[in-house]
Amino acid sequence: MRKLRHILLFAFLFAIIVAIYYFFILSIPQGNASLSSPELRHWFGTDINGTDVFMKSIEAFGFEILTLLIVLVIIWFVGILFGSITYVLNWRALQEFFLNFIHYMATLPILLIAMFLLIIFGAGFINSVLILTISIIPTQALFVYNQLQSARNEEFLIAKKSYGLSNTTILRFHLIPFILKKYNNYTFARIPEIIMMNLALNFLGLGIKEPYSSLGRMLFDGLSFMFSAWWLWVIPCLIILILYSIILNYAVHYRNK
Amino acid sequence: MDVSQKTSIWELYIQVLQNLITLDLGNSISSGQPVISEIKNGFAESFKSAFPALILSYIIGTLLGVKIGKRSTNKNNKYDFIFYVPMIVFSYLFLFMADKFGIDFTSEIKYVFAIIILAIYPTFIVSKSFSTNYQSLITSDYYRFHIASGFSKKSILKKFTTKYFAIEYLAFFENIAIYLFGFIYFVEAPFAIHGVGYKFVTGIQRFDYPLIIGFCIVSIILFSVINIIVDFIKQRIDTRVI
Repeated sequence: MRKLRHILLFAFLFAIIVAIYYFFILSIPQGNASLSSPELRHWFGTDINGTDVFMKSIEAFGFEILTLLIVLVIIWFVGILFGSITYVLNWRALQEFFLNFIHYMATLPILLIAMFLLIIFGAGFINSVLILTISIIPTQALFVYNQLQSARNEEFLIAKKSYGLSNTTILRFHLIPFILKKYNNYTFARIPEIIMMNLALNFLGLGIKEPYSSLGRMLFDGLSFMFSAWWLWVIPCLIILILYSIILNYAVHYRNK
Repeated sequence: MDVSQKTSIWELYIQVLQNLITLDLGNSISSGQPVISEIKNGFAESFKSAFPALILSYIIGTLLGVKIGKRSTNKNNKYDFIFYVPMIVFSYLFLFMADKFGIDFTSEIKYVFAIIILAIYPTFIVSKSFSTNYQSLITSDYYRFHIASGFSKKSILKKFTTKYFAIEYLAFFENIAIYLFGFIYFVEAPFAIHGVGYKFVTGIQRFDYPLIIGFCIVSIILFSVINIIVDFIKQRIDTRVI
């Protein structure tokens, strides 16, 4: 609860800073602002088009969080759904096919699959989020399936069966709550991977398109100005470091709770 | 292959399979070179940094794992997030620092940078796994039994646990290989190493379909072979695998 209060306080202060910057600082008149280094008028400098890097970073950060939330929610639900379906499936051949498919998907480089799918379906924010989700779901489902399999011989489940409860009831009210803590930890542990993949897809220009900005694309643009305009890549790098630090500390905090 | 002359999709498919057996994957649209030679060159270039990175990560990871494992607790360090930071960030930092210190990063030294950057995350994985296993080992019953029987710590580790650690190492070997293969582009692009990642992504950006498909086929075959070899070794050394 204290951690949540910290987040809310941080978000509130951050919103105030952004509002001050947007309404007051950016209104200070200035001439040619192309590749201007960090100063009072542009805290994080400007890019080649004269766009303010601070505002770009805020937008990119927002998209990163949005992508993360969408992907996390979808993979959480669909992972549980597919894992449970595979577990309760009575048709052996179909179950084996599904498991083989998941195992095969899990052994391939996810990023390459995502890239390949994006070439076929076209780049864009929605497509990249969808493909990111699709690439991660098999391993989520496999985790759920394995957890359910290992939990099936627990004594309390045998007792529930002896009461005459149906398999679906046991799964819904006893098995899934039993594995939920581990599943949540596993899903949280995938946050760095999701951010990394999203960053990679955006870096390659397969994710968010112009006029919107993303951390990956900002890094890509920064490569051309590696030595002449350091702020173009240092700022996204710092944001990534902060993002990782916050998220992983919260993930560890949740795991230890 | 002249597709205009073929009418049946099966004929085309059989033709593709035949070409695949003779390692004829067509020519790259962008470079005009045979795809197989592009792949060969790419792998040879990537191997220079990926393989040493793999070895380095196992060596340093094990040493770190021993050090961490000897501690009484194995809690998550709050600075662990550094290991998760995408390698592109490290690539940029190394590139910038190299320029600041006047190092010519276009020379062979770029491979050293690439090795270090590629080894960061796998080192963390290896050290984490080793320390966890080490701690579970020294609290196990059979370890205590052997200590009580007069065996030294070193001899127990040497005689009884080598196989145990080897099995654990094999468990994530493939994942590390996939990780290195999947993200190698983010080291190769800044350092201008024309390896497999660089060629694959350039192929995507240029819509070079023969190259993309060639890389996909070869990588799938490669990972399948690695998987089979790992499973085979695991079966030989792990008595629990039937």
